Amino acid sequence: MCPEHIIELMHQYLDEEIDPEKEQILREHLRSCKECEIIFNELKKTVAFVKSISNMQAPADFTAHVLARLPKEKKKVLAAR
Amino acid sequence: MDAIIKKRIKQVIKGDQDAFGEIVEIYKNSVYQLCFRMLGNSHEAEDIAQETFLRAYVNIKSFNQDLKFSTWLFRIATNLCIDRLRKKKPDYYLDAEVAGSEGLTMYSQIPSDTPLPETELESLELQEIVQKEILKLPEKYRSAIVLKYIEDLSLNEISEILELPLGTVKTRIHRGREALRQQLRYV
Repeated sequence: MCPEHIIELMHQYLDEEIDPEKEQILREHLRSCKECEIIFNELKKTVAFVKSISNMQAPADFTAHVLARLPKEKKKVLAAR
Repeated sequence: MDAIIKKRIKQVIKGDQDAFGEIVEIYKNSVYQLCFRMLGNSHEAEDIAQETFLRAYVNIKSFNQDLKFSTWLFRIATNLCIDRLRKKKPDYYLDAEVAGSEGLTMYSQIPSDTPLPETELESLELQEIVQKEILKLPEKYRSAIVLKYIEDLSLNEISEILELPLGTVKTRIHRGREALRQQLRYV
């Protein structure tokens, strides 16, 4: 079982919020602990996988469909009364 | 970009629907993508993405200009997606939290350390596998993960969109990442 505080440092690293001393602690631990190294690599791979699916396009006629559904403009009917 | 949006919003408030069309063009892909990754179905994603823009149009006068427009738009979209997910009964049961277990759902009761069968790996594109695993996440982790990695937003923006403290957002992303790691480690 990997130490909880090391897992926490991995998440800080992935959030890009780790400070240099803690990153040093993480790196030293990873050099000596195969299990943590595997988890860290799996986490980085997971992030890369999720990022890799981020290029979707809306259907071609999307904007036209939205505009067709907008409520009709009120043409100052009330003011004219 | 922000200056253009502000200008367009003023035009929309005056009744210019073409200006709204320009706003839709700018944000349609990111809103549609958010809905698709949350809902996992292109038909529903299109429906909810359109609904997002309709709500934005109808409520545009209440948009607080101190906020980024995209933050407001993503907030509408996320809330609509979550409403839709809660109406879907089978998912509701699996997404329901197990009594007395903070954040645990029926999904986490299913053994997760079994690798995907090889045939499944061969037949599915990586994209589909990743999408499938995202859809298995409880909705509160799913929205945080999608906003972070699919929409590439900062933790602060996500905290504004979800109207949650930064610490809560971080916890959700950490747990979401950990759950996905368990599922994707054999891929």
